[in-house]
Amino acid sequence: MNLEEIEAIKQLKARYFRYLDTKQWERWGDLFTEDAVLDHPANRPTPLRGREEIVATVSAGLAGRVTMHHGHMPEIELLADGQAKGIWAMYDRLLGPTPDGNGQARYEGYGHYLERYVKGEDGQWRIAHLHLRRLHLEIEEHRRDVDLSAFEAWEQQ
Amino acid sequence: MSLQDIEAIRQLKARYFRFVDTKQWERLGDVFTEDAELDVPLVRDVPLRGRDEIVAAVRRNLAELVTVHHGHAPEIELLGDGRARGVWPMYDLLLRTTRAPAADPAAPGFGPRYEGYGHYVEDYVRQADGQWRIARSELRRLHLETEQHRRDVDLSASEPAAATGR
Repeated sequence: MNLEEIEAIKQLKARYFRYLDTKQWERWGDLFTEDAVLDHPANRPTPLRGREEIVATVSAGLAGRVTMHHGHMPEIELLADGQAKGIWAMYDRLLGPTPDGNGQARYEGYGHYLERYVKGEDGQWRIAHLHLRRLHLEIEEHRRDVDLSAFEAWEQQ
Repeated sequence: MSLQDIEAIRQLKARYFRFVDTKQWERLGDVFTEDAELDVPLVRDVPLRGRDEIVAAVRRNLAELVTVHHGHAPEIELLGDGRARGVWPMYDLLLRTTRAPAADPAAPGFGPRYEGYGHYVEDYVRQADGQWRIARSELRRLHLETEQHRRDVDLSASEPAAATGR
């Protein structure tokens, strides 16, 4: 067990969470390999493929939303040839408009990231495959009819 | 201080949480020694004793619930001679998302939901196969919040008019 490599991978994932929540998308993209896969079945039926598609889709999806991501209790296992795999327990909280734009929604999620990492020629570990499995997702929506003119019309009758 | 052993114990506890939350009961037993003890005073007056009893009781209590357990900021101390002890601050969420069994119709549809905070206080041993295992685990709660949604299922008392034929 090479603890320096394990610590480097833990810090890689810490940067993943921090750049995501602080919306530093260019830095966030550099944490993935060029051909990385991001698979989040509870959110998208088809995995995102490639760094460009991952950054473009996730940054568009989270624009105008506040996000908080926490990782817990990583189990990192080093494999041969500059490869590693790991599991992270996770919690996240997402605040933003409802899909129809007429209200506000809060999502609280719990689950695990199942991941594969590779070490590049520049010595940096990167995420090659990210798979998020949900244990539980809670959604709270605050909605109303935005057009209240019916009340004025009722008074006029 | 051997950081290798400390990392191994961290991953041991991570597996404990993960096997519970993903309901891998057959794998859960292997994180405990054969004669391990699990003490959760808030739930049971008497500690569970032995790997088989621990797995059976945890499975019985949690199989029908969604559970999430997170451990934080462990303090692991190696004691020498293949022994160690540790403290883990913890958070957990337990809830029923499906309709309650007919045996408890007063808890229809939703709940209970528990959110807990506390510390695991634990002893570990490294056994002949080189694996660290949990020899004793005690969960001390700092705080436990319970949310329940209950009602009287029999609503016939609210129909007096029908009873008098009016």
